[in-house]
Amino acid sequence: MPRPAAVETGAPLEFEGVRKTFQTHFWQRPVTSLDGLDLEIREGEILGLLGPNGAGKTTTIKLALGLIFPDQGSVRLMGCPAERPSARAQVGYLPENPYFPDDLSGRELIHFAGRLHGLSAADRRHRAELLLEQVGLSAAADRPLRKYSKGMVQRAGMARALVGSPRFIILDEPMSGLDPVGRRQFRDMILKLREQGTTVLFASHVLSDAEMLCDRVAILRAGRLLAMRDLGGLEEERAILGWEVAVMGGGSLGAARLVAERGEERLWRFSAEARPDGILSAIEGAGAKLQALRPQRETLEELFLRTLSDAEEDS
Amino acid sequence: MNRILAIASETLSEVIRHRILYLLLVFAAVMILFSRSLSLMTVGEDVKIIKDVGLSAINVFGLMVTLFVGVGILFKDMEKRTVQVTLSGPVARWEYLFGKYLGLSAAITLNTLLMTLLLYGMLFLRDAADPVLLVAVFMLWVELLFLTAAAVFFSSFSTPIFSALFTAATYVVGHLAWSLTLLEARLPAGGFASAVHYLYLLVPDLEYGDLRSQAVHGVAIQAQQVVFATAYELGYAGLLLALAALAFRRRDLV
Ligand SMILES: Nc1ncnc2c1ncn2[C@@H]1O[C@H](COP(=O)(O)OP(=O)(O)O)[C@@H](O)[C@H]1O
Ligand SMILES: [Mg+2]
Repeated sequence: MPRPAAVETGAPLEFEGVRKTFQTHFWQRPVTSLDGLDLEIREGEILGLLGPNGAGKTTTIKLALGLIFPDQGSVRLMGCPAERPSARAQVGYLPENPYFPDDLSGRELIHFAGRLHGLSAADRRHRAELLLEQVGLSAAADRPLRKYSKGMVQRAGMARALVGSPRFIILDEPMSGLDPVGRRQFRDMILKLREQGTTVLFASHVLSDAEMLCDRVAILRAGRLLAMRDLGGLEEERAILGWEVAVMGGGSLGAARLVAERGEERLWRFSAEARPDGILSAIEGAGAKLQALRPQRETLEELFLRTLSDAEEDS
Repeated sequence: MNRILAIASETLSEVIRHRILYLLLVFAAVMILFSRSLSLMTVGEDVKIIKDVGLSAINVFGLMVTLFVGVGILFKDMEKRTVQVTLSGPVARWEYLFGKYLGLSAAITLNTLLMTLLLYGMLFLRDAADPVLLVAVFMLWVELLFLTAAAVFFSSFSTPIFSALFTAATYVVGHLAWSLTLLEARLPAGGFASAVHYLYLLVPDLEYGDLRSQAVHGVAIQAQQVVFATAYELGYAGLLLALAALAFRRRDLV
């Protein structure tokens, strides 16, 4: 199979009116996983594909990789029809709950993937060393995967996904099974990839992962795209739940509730209705010295749930 | 081609890690114990029995490797979804199937070679290393290559468990197919008889290429039969692989 001669033009991934159903048993009605999905990923961005379990995230990813085929609509990967193998030459993939042949060692896993990507033996050795180091598996590189913990398999899978120096990387629930240190390492790796110009698609049902990483998020539910937006805009939309005020000394701040106190330092909470200028004058009136004033916004999780229930009411 | 070879060599090393060597050790142990117990027999008789049992053992152990290890690896690949990981790279579906087939065939070849070496070692000690046996071993090997193609064929569209059953069934049917010709001969000419005739043409006849008893009892083997049986079984295997590639091309891998 020849590789594409020139770099393909077009977005890394484009879905147009994609519908996908699964026939579980011939006597049952097919399950609709995606229902007319339109989606476009821009070159160089980190796109979070968010949605509750069963929203269609994994289905979207498998369609992108040509592992399953749409009933309707078109899927284009790196500018080619997704079923074409050469489209995947510059794509890396970390599956959800990955399973790899477990008698391979981490190093062997990467070597095999490197061969599929056409790397020379010397390149494979070099890449394996580098990537295992990056995911923190150097010490375990020659142990069989069956002796790895879930988080370690996840790390090996990440290294495997990067072996072909992909321009586009697709991660399905990459943070699951990782400890906090692992999550931070993955986040740093993903951010570094973006710096190098790699486009990243990652699916997650945990919004806080997206919050730290994404340029844009696509919110999926029941096979439909509910929203697609810049994360910056999302920040504004997060409702203010209250105000947190840190002060030194002073008396009671009227309507505010005392949250914590350490020596002269006090932390007060105002309700969402309070206005910043009102808060400032209350502080002045109480003879306290302002240290910090912060809005308490709802988490992305809460915003997300609110968006979902709004959409429910609309339909 | 590189990708096919990568998948093939990966598959071969998976088989080797799959305790295929233990099976070979069992084979060796069976053969050695067996030949010891024959030491009381008259010269000539024992050689014939060693040949006979040796070929049967090569057959049985070859089948075990094909049906359990070969089918098992295809099973695991589909069931555990490692196939999806492989195919998420720049690998065409047919490349995957052919790579698997080549790797499994290489494993079967290696296994057959080692068992044959052992058998010949024992025959050599008795001054009875008859090259005619090699023809029978060759045909057993061809049959295993055919069965492996059948396993790949069934795996390309069916669920793992059914693929395993269908492959085993292919072996049984293949060795009973000749009885269809008997049946046809007994039926009155007509629709039913010709249906049986076409059915016979459709199912693989594996008995035709089974030259074991001829080799053991020194009956002359026709070169023509060997050539024809080989071409027939490998041609059939090629057809199955082509059909497998076709069926697998648009299959959803969920
Ligand atoms: N192979 C399949 N057979 C039947 N239904 C499926 C299959 N794969 C996914 N589905 C259904 O499609 C929907 C979307 O699934 P999925 O894409 O895995 O969701 P997510 O990854 O967002 O949790 C779910 O309702 C799921 O039950
Ligand atoms: Mg999923």
